[in-house]
Amino acid sequence: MAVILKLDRVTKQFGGLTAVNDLSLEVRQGSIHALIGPNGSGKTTTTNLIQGVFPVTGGRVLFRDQDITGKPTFEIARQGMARTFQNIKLYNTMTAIENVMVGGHQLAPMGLVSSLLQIRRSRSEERMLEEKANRMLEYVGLASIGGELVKNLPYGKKKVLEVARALMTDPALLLLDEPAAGLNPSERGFFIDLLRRINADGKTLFLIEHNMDVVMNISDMLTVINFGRKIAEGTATEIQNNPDVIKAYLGERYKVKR
Amino acid sequence: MNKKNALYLAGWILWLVALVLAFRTANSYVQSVFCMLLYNIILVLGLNFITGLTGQMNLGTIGMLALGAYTYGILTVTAGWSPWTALFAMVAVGYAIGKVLGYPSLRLKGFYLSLTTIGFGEIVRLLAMNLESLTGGTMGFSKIKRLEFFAYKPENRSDYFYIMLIFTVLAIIVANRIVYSKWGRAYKAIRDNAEAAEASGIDISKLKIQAFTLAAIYAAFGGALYAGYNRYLNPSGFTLEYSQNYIAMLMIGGIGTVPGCILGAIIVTALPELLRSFANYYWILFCTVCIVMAILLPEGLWPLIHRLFARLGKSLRGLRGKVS
Repeated sequence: MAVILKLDRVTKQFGGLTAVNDLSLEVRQGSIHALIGPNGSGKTTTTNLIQGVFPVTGGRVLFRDQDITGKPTFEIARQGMARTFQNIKLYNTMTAIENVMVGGHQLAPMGLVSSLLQIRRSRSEERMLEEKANRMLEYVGLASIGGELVKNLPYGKKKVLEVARALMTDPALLLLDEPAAGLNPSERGFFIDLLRRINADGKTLFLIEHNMDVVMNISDMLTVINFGRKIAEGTATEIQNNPDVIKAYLGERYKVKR
Repeated sequence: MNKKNALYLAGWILWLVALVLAFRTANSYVQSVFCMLLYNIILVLGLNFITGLTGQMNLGTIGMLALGAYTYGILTVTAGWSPWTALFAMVAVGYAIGKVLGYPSLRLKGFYLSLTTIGFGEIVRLLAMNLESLTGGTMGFSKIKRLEFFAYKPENRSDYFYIMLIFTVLAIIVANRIVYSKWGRAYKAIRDNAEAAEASGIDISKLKIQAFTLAAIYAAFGGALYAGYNRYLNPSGFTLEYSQNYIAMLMIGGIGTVPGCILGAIIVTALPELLRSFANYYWILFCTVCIVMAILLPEGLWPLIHRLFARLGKSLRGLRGKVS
């Protein structure tokens, strides 16, 4: 299988603190790849480096065989990488469907002047966005709440809405920063199904997660980091039996019983 | 055109006819308030793009207006251009201001951006005061040419109302199309959560500068109309106080919506005239109104009115349902 995202010896230092240290990893196209590790081990920093939120101190990031190191976030997003956030980041003054439509902004090619002058074309563009946003809402099971203001939605729905907005950009790779955090067990079950569905529809998922139920259930491949360094990599079973990982993160409880 | 659009259009035409009728029957003092209202509407619609939607504080509106007004004056009088050509030069003026003022907004946030825009307004005012050979300094700049519309040659200030009205309607239509489109949504997305907007592939820097440019073009057009209307410019009329007034209009009317901007412009333009009898105490009243509004209705009056109308429509439909 082809590699869609490759981190090549990526390092990030904040002043004297090394948050990510010489991290190399490969995400295969079509897989569900999880990045796990204790709190403060550099997981969110890694996502931010991949998406170009901060510049890297050293190393390279390759996405679909192109070097995206140092590119601005919006350009990386346009190349087909979308993300959701650890702390929900939605547009609170807008409705759910409007939030999703903003995700499609870059897919609508008309410039400001031409969309002012060409009334008919801009209308059909708007219709295209609206129809697509409706499809996305339906896909994630939020079709009934399109007209609701986001600030009035419950937490679980907001989390799912973020996924819909990310999918609206037609991504090849979806970065999910703790998608299951704060969800109750039934919401979590729904979320796992949703992620599987998205993956089955051909999108690669890269997720950061603390909830081992979720991670061990759906990941094809796991990378474990501690203090910004990779300590293990492999399938769920391999990771669960890795003594280093058990010591640093999982604890004895997670060892697979034979 | 469907039924809803036709009704909407009819409503707007009704408002326009009412406005013109009210204008015709008014005395010349009230007429001058009407004219002031028109260019205020244009200015606040422009400010809405950058401050209302994109959330970047701009206290330099009056500087943008002054630049437009003086450029229009200099082009028509000193350079001898025709008023129409000078008016379309306002697009270039607005574009230039937008680029120059837009770049600081990429690096500066909150208070610092406010200060920069205040500084911009003051610089324009001081230049107008001190570049005497160009602007006439404190003596003012007079005999500015007016726009003529084919055979329609406005003789006095109140005749100019109709020409300003045409541009105001145009400004409202354009603003309406931008605010309720993917552009309006993208601007709001930047205001609500810049990081998420960028992760959706939106080029924040480009759109911020674009919103600043739109605001500047609107302000420059408003300034040119003001110059043609007044035929006289003086730096003392371009103080910070006016920029604050435009923010007040935005705040009181309803941030981010076109009807809200118009409503705010009407209230803040009319209030000083209605409260004339209070003389200097007027400021106490006005500021109290502003503070109370900021606490009780932070989104402005329009969302409240909108909700009331929606509820009224719902109960009317409910009534009709019971009868049939």
